[in-house]
This record gives sequence, C-alpha cells and structure tokens, in this order.
Amino acid sequence: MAKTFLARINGPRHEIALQIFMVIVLAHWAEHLFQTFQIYVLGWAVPQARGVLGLLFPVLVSSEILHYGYALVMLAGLWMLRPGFTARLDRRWWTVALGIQFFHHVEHFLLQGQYLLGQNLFDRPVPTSLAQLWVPRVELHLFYNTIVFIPMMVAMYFHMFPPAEAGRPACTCAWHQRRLPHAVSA
Amino acid sequence: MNIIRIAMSLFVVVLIAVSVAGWIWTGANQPPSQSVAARTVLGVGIVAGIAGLAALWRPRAG
Repeated sequence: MAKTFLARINGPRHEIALQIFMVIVLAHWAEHLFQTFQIYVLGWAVPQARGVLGLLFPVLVSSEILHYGYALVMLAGLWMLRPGFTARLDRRWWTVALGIQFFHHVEHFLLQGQYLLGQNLFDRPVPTSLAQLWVPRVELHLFYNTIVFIPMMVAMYFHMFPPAEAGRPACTCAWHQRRLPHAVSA
Repeated sequence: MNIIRIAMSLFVVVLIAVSVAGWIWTGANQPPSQSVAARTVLGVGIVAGIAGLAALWRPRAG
C-alpha cells in the first residue's frame, strides 16, 4: 500500500525532509545575520540594510508577501515534520518551536492583511504587527527568529541523539542507527 | 555527538552575540521608548540562547 506523503516525510524520508527544511531556515538566518551586521557593526541606516539578496533585489525586503510566505513555510514545516519526533524530549522542544512560530505567523498575517487591504492598523504609516507597536522591526524579527530556532535546534539534537529509554523511531535521523545499518530495517 | 553539539552551540553563541550587539546599538541609536522595548526582547532572546545551551549540555541519563 502506498504511503501518504506525510507518512513518508515522518518516516523513511524524515531525515532528508529535515535537512531541506534546515537549509531553508539557515539561508533565512544568513540574510538576517547579514542585515544585523550591516546595522550593528557597519553602521548602515536601517532602510539601507537589506542583507545580501535584498541589496540585489530590494523587493525581497519590501515585499510583505515574501515575509509572510517564509512564516507560512516555517509554520507548515514545523507542523508537518512534528509527527516524526516520537520521543518525549524532542517532541516537547519541537512543539515549543511550533507554538512560538504560530504566534509569529499571526503577526505576519496581520502585516500581510494590512498590505492587501491598503489599511494599516492604528493609522500607522506602514503595516504594523502587534509587537511592532513597541518594538522596532529589526530587533523584533531577530527576537522571533531566535526564540523559534533555539527550541527547534534542541529538538533536533535530542532527535539525532535520543536518550536510551526512547523507543525505536521510524526515521533514520538517529546517528547511532547509521553505525548499525541493520537496526533500521530490523 | 559532541561535534554536532559544539556546532549547534557555536551558532547559538553567534545569536547571543548578535543580540548583545543589538542591545548596545539600540541604546545609542534609538529613542528611549524603542530602546527599552528592543532591549527587553533582545534580553529574552539572550536568555533563550542560554537556556538552549543549558539544554544541549545538561547531562542526561543513558
């Protein structure tokens, strides 16, 4: 019987799915780290600090749809890959990341809604999320990305190196299984 | 195991360092109301980073 897509990416394909997801997440991080370097170290003005791709393609930074798209990809990835985290510790940390990303996504949804409707919240000159009422956008994004990424990373560590009491996972992510090739199929 | 854990920890240290840089920068370049708010969230980010490092390096049974 053919397995569904979700069953595959949470079973034999969990490892490659997580690797692809991490490439996307780290590429996004690279852009944010370049942007903060431009502001905090090089002293560039915030509107000019657009990371690397943003310097070549300014629309990448100014377009709300791209930011919303990434937030949606993050939320979908965290949700879809969660069943593959079968032990207690890795599931718990991954769920924390999913919960925080859900709120982060709501913030981007508000921004996207304002952009599409042409009406900004609280009569602000630019689309504004709730937390952005108090916190500048660059620092807010740095904060959200940090508090989503850290529990996600800890979850992956526990997933790759599960405690002894954890049951046998359906995926190939655990490193000790790679040294015992028969363990997966046994 | 330790190589992965060290690589992850180094990335978290970079994130903490960026938050510290932001903490310093915002105090000198933003009005007080925004600076306090920015420092609050950056501080939470730093605490999250330290908590992540603690989770990675905490001894585990087994």
